[in-house]
Amino acid sequence: MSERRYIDVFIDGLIGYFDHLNESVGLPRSVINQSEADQHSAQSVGLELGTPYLLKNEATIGLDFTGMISVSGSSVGTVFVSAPRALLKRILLSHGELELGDEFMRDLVGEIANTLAGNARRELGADFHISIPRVIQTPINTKDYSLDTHCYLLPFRWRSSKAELIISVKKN
Amino acid sequence: MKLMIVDDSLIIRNKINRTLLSRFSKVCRAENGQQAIDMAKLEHPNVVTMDLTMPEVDGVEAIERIMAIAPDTHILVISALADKATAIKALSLGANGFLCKPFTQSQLSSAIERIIDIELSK
Repeated sequence: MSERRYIDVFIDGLIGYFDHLNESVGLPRSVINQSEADQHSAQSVGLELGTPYLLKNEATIGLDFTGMISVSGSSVGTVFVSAPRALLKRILLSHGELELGDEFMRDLVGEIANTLAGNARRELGADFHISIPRVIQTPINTKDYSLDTHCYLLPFRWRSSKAELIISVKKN
Repeated sequence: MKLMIVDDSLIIRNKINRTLLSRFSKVCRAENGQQAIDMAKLEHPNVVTMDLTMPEVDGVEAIERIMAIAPDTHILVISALADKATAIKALSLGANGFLCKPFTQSQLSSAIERIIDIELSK
């Protein structure tokens, strides 16, 4: 399993997640453009994907809220979803949620991380074991979690609010 | 009919509640498998929506134990775990349906209507 494969699986999950949100708020589903052989791009009114890049060994990551999932079994590592309040507020409203306090934002960012990691099992199989989500509200040093794997950051925006998906997973 | 919503996410519990509230005379909620088992003994729900990845007792164990207590309970699994093996295991334990997260309100409504049809046809 190549690192690129993990990134592709999680990008597919991210597109699927926001397609459902788009549907909830009456926006069109994402249009996937794979004209460039090694680069995904999703274009819709809602989701914009940036280009994934390799983080340095001791990079500091983390927006307002970061959901973290530990991976074990056939693969090992960590997956993070990090988002600012502005994006989480938009998503909460799209779910029909009117409570917008920190408790709900923590719950949401953990649930997004859980959903992306759980959906990855569609491609990676049931031996891709995932933990329950942990949520962090402080900057994170990737060195503390990367388990000697490369750490890739995918920037993305949904309805103009930026966020980050960080993938540090390798075959066990 | 009584509904029990089991999920460790408050937002998901709220979303399911908003979507299904009008279809049931009573709705109760649990945030992990152990709470769900305890509540099933007290409330005797006809229909359960069950997450799988939860702290303490997970959804798979909760399904097994609820089906042992009340085998007529109808269970819709709502989980992010999207692999076929997990869905097959949940169904083999007695769940009546499997809805993958993320889900829209219309997908949830359709899935629960199919389960209500089973309950009403008994």
